[in-house]
Amino acid sequence: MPNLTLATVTRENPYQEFDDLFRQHYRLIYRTAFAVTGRSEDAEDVLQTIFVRLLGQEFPPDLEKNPRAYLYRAAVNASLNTLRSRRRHTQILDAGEIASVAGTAKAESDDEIQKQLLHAIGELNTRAVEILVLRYVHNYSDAEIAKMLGTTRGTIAVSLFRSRARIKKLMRAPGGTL
Amino acid sequence: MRRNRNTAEEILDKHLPRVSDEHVASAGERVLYRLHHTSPRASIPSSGTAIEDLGIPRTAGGWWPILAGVAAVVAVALVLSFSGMFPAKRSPALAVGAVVESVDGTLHLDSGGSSRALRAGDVIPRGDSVRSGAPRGAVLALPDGSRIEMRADSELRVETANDGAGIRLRQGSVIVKAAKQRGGHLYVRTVDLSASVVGTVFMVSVDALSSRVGVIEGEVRVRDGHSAVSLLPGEQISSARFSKESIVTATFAWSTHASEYIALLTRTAGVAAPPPAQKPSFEVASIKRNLSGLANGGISPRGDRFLATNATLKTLLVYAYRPGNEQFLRDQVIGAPGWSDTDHFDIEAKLGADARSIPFSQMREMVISLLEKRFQLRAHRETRELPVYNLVLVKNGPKLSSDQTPPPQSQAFINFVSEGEALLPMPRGAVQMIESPVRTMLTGTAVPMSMVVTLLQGRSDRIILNKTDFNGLFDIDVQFAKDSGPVPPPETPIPTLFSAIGELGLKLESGKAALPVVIVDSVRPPSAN
Repeated sequence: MPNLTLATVTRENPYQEFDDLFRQHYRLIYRTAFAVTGRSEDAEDVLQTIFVRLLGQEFPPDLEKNPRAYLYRAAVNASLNTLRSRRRHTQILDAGEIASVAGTAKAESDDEIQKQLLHAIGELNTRAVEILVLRYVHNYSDAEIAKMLGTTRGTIAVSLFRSRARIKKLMRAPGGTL
Repeated sequence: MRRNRNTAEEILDKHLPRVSDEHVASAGERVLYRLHHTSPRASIPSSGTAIEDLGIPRTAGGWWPILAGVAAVVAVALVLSFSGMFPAKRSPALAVGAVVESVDGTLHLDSGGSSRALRAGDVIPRGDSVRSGAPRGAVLALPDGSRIEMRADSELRVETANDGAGIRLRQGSVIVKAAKQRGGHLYVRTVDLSASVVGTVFMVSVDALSSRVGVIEGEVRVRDGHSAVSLLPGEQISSARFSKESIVTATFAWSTHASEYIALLTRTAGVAAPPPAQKPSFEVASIKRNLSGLANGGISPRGDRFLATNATLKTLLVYAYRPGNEQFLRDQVIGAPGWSDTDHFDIEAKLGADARSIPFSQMREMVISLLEKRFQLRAHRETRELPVYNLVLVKNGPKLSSDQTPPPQSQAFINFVSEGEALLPMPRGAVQMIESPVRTMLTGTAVPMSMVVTLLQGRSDRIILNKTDFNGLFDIDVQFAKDSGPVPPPETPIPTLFSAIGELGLKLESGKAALPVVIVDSVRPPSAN
């Protein structure tokens, strides 16, 4: 990834840099957003919002330092915000209600299971979701995730274990799937 | 425990939402398209993405008051010394960079965040940029008598150099016929090359990957950072590989004087005349009916492919025949059959080169070739008088923003949200468009007139011409009823768009104007692949 500031100055075409940045990372952002929100329209909104913000300002230093990590984090944050605001909108406020509303009857269809899973993911903290999506959507190994996020393989394994346990607990609540 | 862990893992593996590559690519193109067309980037010719109807309207910038005075002085100069375009001595205070000698298509001046169309005889102030549109480009005359022939879809700025005049070519191609310099040089610079001359004919081009200089007559000194080389007739050099090569006559075949230059080269460098130029076309193309019934679609050259998804013939015609970056609505395609609006197609065509290295004008010509070959299209361009809306000031004038400091160009974008969604804080110059089923709300501060016209154009069935000659900044906080959809409750009447803009001190008046159109003489459904 070239130095964006330098490229902007020397090439006198910041839009080309913007396009390049978009084309290099939109797949990662969109897949992440789709995995967390479960809706294509929300995933498009997340993708657009992230880049609209970049259009209106200088590229932040963190973006220039590691664009992939910056944009991935932004995608998870924006997706969780979307997921949580949707849940607030539907007046589902706590974990118990998540399970009971999502699975009033025993969930039988894949859609119901997915709905419960996304509600449960919305209960996790941002870092845990970052790791979970890298592992189960983008298919990175623990070691690759550790390198990407600047931590140890053990930390990643522990986080994944806790996330699975939390998801299991939420989905085992009354009316849940597990 | 082990069973439960596996169960959670299985659910994550199986039920986390995932999407296909095609879905992601399609969504990415849609978003990039919206980013392109809701920001100032839309005013910059792009080799990448364009679709239909949306575009940057012609705007009258604030240069008229300045240029009126300049033009009066220059007019006298033109009468006295047309052959050299300028008299030998000029007042430096005028800061005239160049004069437009001819325009075959469109030419726009970008200055201070606004843009306006130029015609023959108009002055380009030094330091300002001009963009040429389809079909041919334009010719500019410099004060020293040099002439710059701009290819369509080119952009340059006229500058001052320490020992002469300068052109900074940002994209596209130019052919420079440099006049004899009196003790100085004429410089043409690109992002990575600088060419200096004292009197010669040469070509400079810039694409996404590199810059190129080729000499037709005389001698040109080309610099690339610390390296320098002198080029003689018939030689060219590219920034991608800084070594001399033989000039390729096809690189200036677009010029109206191409045959003259080829004759010059044949005489000075022994270059053989090329075979007659062929119309640009795709290497191979596949056209399939799209029966998905979806509304989404677009045209997006990507990599070495031209891709049109779920596009109607009308969409393709608008894409192919749109003059430069001018507004070009579907109503400006006349005589197309009914199925041109209802039948959808997926097109994949091989470009033979990276899409970013192909000028937009050439891409359009390739689409026209495809339509002529596969749809048996016969069409021609005309100018016709069409109904338009003229945007004018109302009697008491516009209601201005208290702070008239121009915001950075990068902040002139539109953010689309639905009513009820969280609103982002907008910087000065940006507009938030909030949509609900019954109304549209616009809010923004320090918004330029060009943005107002863009917003109005998106809601109008006619081209809107800015007749205000106004360059101030507005604070916008208006709402208006949707053109279609649920009728708003009678107890809360929502004004129409036309009455809402009255709050800004503006008015749309019906009128007529001569506009470019494309007349479809005949067309048939596409032949099989």
